[in-house]
Amino acid sequence: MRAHIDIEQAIDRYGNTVFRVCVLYFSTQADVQDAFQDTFLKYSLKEDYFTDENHKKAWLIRVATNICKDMLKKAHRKHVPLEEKLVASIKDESAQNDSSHMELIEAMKSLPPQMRDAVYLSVYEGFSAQEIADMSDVPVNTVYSWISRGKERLREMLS
Amino acid sequence: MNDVDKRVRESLDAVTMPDEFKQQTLTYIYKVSEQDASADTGSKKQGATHESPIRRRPFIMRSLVRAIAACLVLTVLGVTGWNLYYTETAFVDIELNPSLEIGLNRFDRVISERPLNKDAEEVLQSVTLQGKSYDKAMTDLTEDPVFLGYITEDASIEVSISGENEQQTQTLLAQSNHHVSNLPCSGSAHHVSDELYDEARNAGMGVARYAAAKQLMELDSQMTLEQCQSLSMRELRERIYALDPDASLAFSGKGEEGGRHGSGHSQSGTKRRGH
Repeated sequence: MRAHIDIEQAIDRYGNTVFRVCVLYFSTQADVQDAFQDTFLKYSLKEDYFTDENHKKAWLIRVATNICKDMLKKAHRKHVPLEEKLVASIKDESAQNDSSHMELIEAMKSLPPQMRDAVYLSVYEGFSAQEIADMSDVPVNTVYSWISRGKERLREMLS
Repeated sequence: MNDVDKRVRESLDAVTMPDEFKQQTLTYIYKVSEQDASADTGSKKQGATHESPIRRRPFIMRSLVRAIAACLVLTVLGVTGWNLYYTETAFVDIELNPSLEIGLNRFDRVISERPLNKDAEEVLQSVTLQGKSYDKAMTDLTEDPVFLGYITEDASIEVSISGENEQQTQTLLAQSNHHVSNLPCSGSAHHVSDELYDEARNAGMGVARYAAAKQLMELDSQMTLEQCQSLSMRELRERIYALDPDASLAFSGKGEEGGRHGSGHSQSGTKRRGH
């Protein structure tokens, strides 16, 4: 098992990243928490070391995504709106912005998972299409297609 | 940046994990590890093998050495004696830049040797420590040309001793101090707690390096364990002292005083330089 301080640092540094991945898959805090905890449990048990912080971040995102997909397959969960507890995690200075944020997040959750992941990783986390292709094990042109179609759908839903 | 990109970023910026998630996750992870530990039927301190990230010496060589030693020992001690002979009761980490671990039985005989980094692999291919008394093993190690190649004027060697038996660890400490004092570089020997030892092993590092890495990460939250692993002991020390000139390296994990027995060498005419 990795050192305690290593695990704590990883949660401090990448906890929000992993949390966002899980929120984009689930609607209840319990499910998000399960996926979040299992992700860092896998991290704690990983014996090999990472080449750099980007490698670690990409690994955590990929593991969180796979855990979320596995949980969805087992429970046959469908898309439902975020429960109140999770909504409380989405903070902003004004209530008006809160509803705008919620609208965006719900729109992203309604995208097909691969399209949603590609948009999230590209637009928010700043990964290149090639990096996303490597993480997802698909051709880079497929990733470009996911990103452009994903953004197009979001534009339609939010307009 | 277009509108969709902007909205995605602004909205996801507002998504942050609840404060309680971190502690709940840590509690969950530690609980799982405790359950796994209690289910484990053998620990490395009972002689079971421990997989290090570093390649071990070739299996054939290791098994041949063990087989020969075992035959000689079995005829004298019998099966019960075998168990006693091959049970590690103390561990010594020797960290220069090669970083290696020696496992000793209750008779102060080396029964296991393990490199903790690539440089130590080369050293252990040049000199055999297994089967020797600790004193003889340290003599052979400190006279080995490959090992001596790492002894530079500004090098620093740390010897960390962990063990169950107070008398044995005191003997090992005294012998370690003797050998360290004969080297043309600075260094010291310490008795460390089992807790710190286990943490270091889990991190795949020597005890002194791990303790220094932990101290540096506490002083500089930007530092990660991976980054610390790429630094030499000297570099770790320099960064620690740059952040806290009054810092003293702790090796036992028991607080700022530096362990139950303190710095075995540094209290009696240390050869530390530049501190």
